[in-house]
Formats: sequence, C-alpha cells, structure tokens
Amino acid sequence: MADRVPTWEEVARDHGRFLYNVAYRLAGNDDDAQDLVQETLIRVRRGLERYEPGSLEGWLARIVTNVFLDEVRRRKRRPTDALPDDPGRVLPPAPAADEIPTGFSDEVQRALGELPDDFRVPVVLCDVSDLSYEQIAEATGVPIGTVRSRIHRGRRLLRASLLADGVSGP
Amino acid sequence: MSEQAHELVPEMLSAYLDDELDASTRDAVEARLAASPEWRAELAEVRAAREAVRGLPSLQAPDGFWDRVFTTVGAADDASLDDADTPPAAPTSLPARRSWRRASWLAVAAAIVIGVVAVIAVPHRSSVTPNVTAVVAQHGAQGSDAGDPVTMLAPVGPLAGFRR
Amino acid sequence: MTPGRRSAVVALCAALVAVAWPIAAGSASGGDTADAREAARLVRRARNAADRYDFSGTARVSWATASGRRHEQLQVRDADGAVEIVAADGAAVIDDGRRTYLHERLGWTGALIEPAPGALPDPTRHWDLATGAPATVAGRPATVVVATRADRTPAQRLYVDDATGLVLGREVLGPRGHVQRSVRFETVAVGAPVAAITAPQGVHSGTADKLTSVPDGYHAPQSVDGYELITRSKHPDGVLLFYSDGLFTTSVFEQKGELDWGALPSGGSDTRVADTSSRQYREPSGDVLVWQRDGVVYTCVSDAPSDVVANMVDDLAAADRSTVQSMVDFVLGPFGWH
Repeated sequence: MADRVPTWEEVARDHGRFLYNVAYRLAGNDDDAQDLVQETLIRVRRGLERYEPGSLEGWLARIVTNVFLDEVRRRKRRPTDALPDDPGRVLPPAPAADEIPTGFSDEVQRALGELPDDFRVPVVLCDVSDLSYEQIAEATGVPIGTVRSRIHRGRRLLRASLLADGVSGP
Repeated sequence: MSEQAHELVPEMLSAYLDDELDASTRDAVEARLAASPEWRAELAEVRAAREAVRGLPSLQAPDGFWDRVFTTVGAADDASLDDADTPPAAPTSLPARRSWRRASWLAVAAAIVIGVVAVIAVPHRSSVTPNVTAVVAQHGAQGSDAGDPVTMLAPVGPLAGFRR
Repeated sequence: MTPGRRSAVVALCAALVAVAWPIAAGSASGGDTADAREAARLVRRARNAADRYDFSGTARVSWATASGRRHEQLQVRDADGAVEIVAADGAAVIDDGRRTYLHERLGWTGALIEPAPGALPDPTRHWDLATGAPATVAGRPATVVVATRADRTPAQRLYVDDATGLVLGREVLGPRGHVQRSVRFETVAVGAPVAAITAPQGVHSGTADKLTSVPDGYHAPQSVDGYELITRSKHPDGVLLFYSDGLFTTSVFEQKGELDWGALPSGGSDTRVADTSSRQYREPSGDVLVWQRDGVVYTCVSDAPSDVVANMVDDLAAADRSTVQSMVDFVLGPFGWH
C-alpha cells in the first residue's frame, strides 16, 4: 500500500468503517453520517491523484472534516434545514456496534453534539480518529496551539455536560 | 517547538494525556500535578471526558449502505457526482402502546346502581407502606434462581435509587 | 340480538383478538430457524454458567433515570456457585445458591427464601431471538443474543462468553433503541483461583411459604400479557407473585390496605397504570411501579424494558379490577368524582 495509491474502492473497503465512525461522531446521527461518508468518497475518488502515500486515515479525516464543515456552513445559509442535532427530529435506530456500548454512549454522543463545532471537530479527530495534534492542525487549518486549547476546552465542556446529565464517570 | 519557553497552563493537561508534550514540559506538568490539587482535579476531569469519547462503541453502517455507496459513487461520472444522493433511511416505526379497552355502554345502567352502593360500602382499611427496597431485593434474589445470577443480582447490589 | 348487545359482543371479540394476537404472532415468528434455536440455547446455557465456572471481575451497571443516567462500578466474584457483588460504598449482595443476603448501612439482612421456581417459559414463545455480530467484552470473545419485539426493535442484547456461556454483558433497550439499563464486565478472570465466599453469620433468613392458590382478595392471574405465573408465595405482610416470559421476570407484591403515598421512598415519579395513579421508580434492577386498586397495594418490579413493563402492568391492573369497581370507574370517572 505504501508504494502505490489505493483505489477509492480500496479506501471504501479498508477504511469505510473508520470514515463512518468519524462521520457519525461529527454529525451525531446516521442519516447525516451516511451522507458525509458518501460525499467524502466522492472527493476521495476525485482527489486520489493528489494523495501522497502517508497517513491515509489522516488524509481521510481531513476530507470528512471539510465535508462536515462545508455542510454546516451550507445549513447555516439555509436555516430551514434541520441541523444535525435538532432535538425534535425522530432519530433512526442506533447503528450496530461491534463492542458492547459503555452504557451511556447516548449521553456522550449527545454531549458531543452539543459542543460548538470548533471544539467538537478537534475532540472527534483526536479521540475517535486518533490523529496527532499536528494532523488535526493540518486537517482543520488552525495553529497547533489552538488545537491544543480547543481539545482541552472541548473536553471540559463535554465533562460538564455529562455531569449535568447525571453521568458522573468514568 | 519546545514548551519550555511557555508558561505552564492547564490546557497542557489534555496534551499531557495525549502524549503531545516534549519531555521537559511533561516533567514540568507532572511536578505541577504533584503540587496542585486543582491541577489534579482538572486532569481527572479531562481524563474522564477523553475516556468517555474514546470508549464510544465502534459503529457499523446499516445493512445495504456500502452497496449503495459502491453503486452511487462508482457509477456516476465526476460531473454528476455532486448530485448523487443516498436513499433516505426508512422512518422509525415506534410501537404504538396499547390502550386499555373500556367496558361497553351496556353496563352503565347496572353500574349506576351497584357502583354507588359499592363506594358507600367500602370499609375502612389499614394503611400500607410497601417496603419497596425489600421487594426489589426479593425480586433480584428470586430472579437469580430463574436466570443467570450475576446479571440478576448485580443491579440489586447498588440499590442506588433508594440508598441516597 | 339487540343492537346494543351485538355491539357488546363485537367489542368483546375485538378485545379477545387483541389479547390473543401478540402471543400467536410471537409463537409463529420465533424459534423456527437454526439461528433462533442457537440463540435460545445460549440463553439457557447462560442461566447456569455461573454454577459451572469460578470467576472474578469488575462490572459496570448503568441505568437511565428521570434525572439522567447513573452508573455504579461493582466488584463481582463467583466461587462454587456462590456470588458476591460489592459496590464502591460497601453495599453488597451475597447469594450462596439458596439464600440471598444484602449489606447496607444497617448491616446484613437476609432475603426470604422463596420456593424453587418452576420451569420458565420458552423465551422463543414471546420473543424473536437471534445471534448478532461477534463481540469482545472485557477482552473475551462473545456472541450477542438479540431479543426483538414484534416491530423488530431490539429489547435486549446479551453478550454471552463463547468459552464458558457466562453472561458478560446485558443491555435492556427501550422501544427507540436507547439502552435503559446495562450490566457489563469491564474486567473478568475465569478459572483463576477465587477465594471462597462465606455467607454472613447470624443473619436470619425466613422462608416464604409456597402457595397453590392466593387467599381471597388477592389477584394472581395465570398469564398476563405473555408473562406466565411461575410461583406464588406467602410473606408475613402479603403475597408475592413471580412471573416470567422466558427472558424477563416480574415480581408483583400484593398487600391489603390503603397505600400511604407519603411514606413511599423519594425519587419516584407519578404515572398512570390502567387509568390508576401510580408511583414509578427507575432502578438499576428494573422498573418499579406502586399502585393501589380495590383495597390491595401492588408493588411491581420488572427487569423488562419500560414499554414491556407498562403493557404487562396495564393488563395486570386492568385484569384485577373487580367488575363492580370497573363499573364505578366507568360511571363516575367522567365526572371526576374520584
């Protein structure tokens, strides 16, 4: 893999689940996550010739983040659209999880969804995508010091939100 | 860039957890942690949030999604890809809760007579305060004979709703 | 037949169909495939796996309440079929196979020894069971057994250890897919030596007498909304009924008298059961509902999902209504006289 550029089908097959998870944690629901993944793969297909072998998942995370932020901007321009975490929306059943959930994953996802995008994106890229601060800075286009600050503040906000929801651990 | 040039700030605690500090800054943060209960409390706070997110389950896209992706992304040419769309997910069907069936109007006439008599004839009864905690415990104990004992008894252990 | 009588018969037939249909549908759809049979086998195996293996570990209990989700970390160990579960604040449960002891602030108490339960119904009579994707819990490969409602929403996921059949995790899900309660091992060691578990000394455990029928004034329907009556027992201050649908269990404790609402534990919420006021608690071990009808106070505990409990309790409460009381309610209800 290091010696050649993968096809978009290989990306979808080998990294699709990674993409879906990042998309779901950013968007907060299955419908939007599906849209994000599909749009990301479309951009992957277009942009593969510009991909330089390296951290493929870092590159994918950058694309899915850009797709997500584009979508957020688009919805802000068209406020009649339901935003991803519209509380009045009837959510589809939670997607299947291979591992047993922690028991309060709904609350964690809700708390994530309540974070402002500037905080949610670096937290998801760090803790779901497992990207380095440098990769996150590259993906989001902000200085690494800002990434560090936003991750920390995002976590504190998340913790406060979980406590307010009665989740006192782990 | 070395962190030594910077003043220690609490936001370094997340970077500390993520192993994003150089060695000298890490040592400085650890020294501060040893001396400061506030820093330790904040570290516990962000660690809990970090673990909560990292502990989220790995999800799988719904059945059929990847087939649609391969079809949609693969079949469309670049010019039309922007318009590609995913079929919407089927709406959730929430189970309708059954409502209880009321008696027929045929009973009205008889009830007017019998019912009023019954209300008047209700004798004075003693006051009852059920020991809810004991019933919950008894349920766990009996349930553990019928099901696997650990998952029947483990929730009984906390008895949290009534203990605090 | 008069028009009024004909409409009453039609209403009665409709009611009978409404009651019978879910059971028939459950019977027809469950247990017919090799996968459903395998899932049912795993459930049966899980029931006594703890008797066959010694183990110890840390489990996490999580449950949703009206004020948010709560959780507890528990130390669990099992040796020679005895189970000990200890919470962080020292509260504990010991079950030595025959008796169950609880330790709280006031020390140890013993639960009454109940008569041995009869055979449980086949879970596939009321639930569609299937095995799900392989999972890993506490580092151990497990098979997920999913029980689904008639509308295909999951009601419970059991994580059954592939090697031993032990239940490593259990999630009870509401109708919208949210986990209402869960228990799961975070760490577990199977087969390593586990220190013997000794029951507390000098703690009295009385015995509840088995009943073949309940005394006058109590209500013990043989079957309620798919739940079958497994045992009836006499307690000093009432009658305890134990129901199961093969997957979940429900206890109903009945006491004669007037419910003292003000003396109930705090933390509950008011709800309605079959058009009767009720106090509800969401506990880690299940939903608790307390109500009163016809001079009997009912306390119901069930580990089933809330919607399943609500349906069962609605049927139970409504079935218990005397004809006279039904008529009184029917006539006086619209005028708000009670």
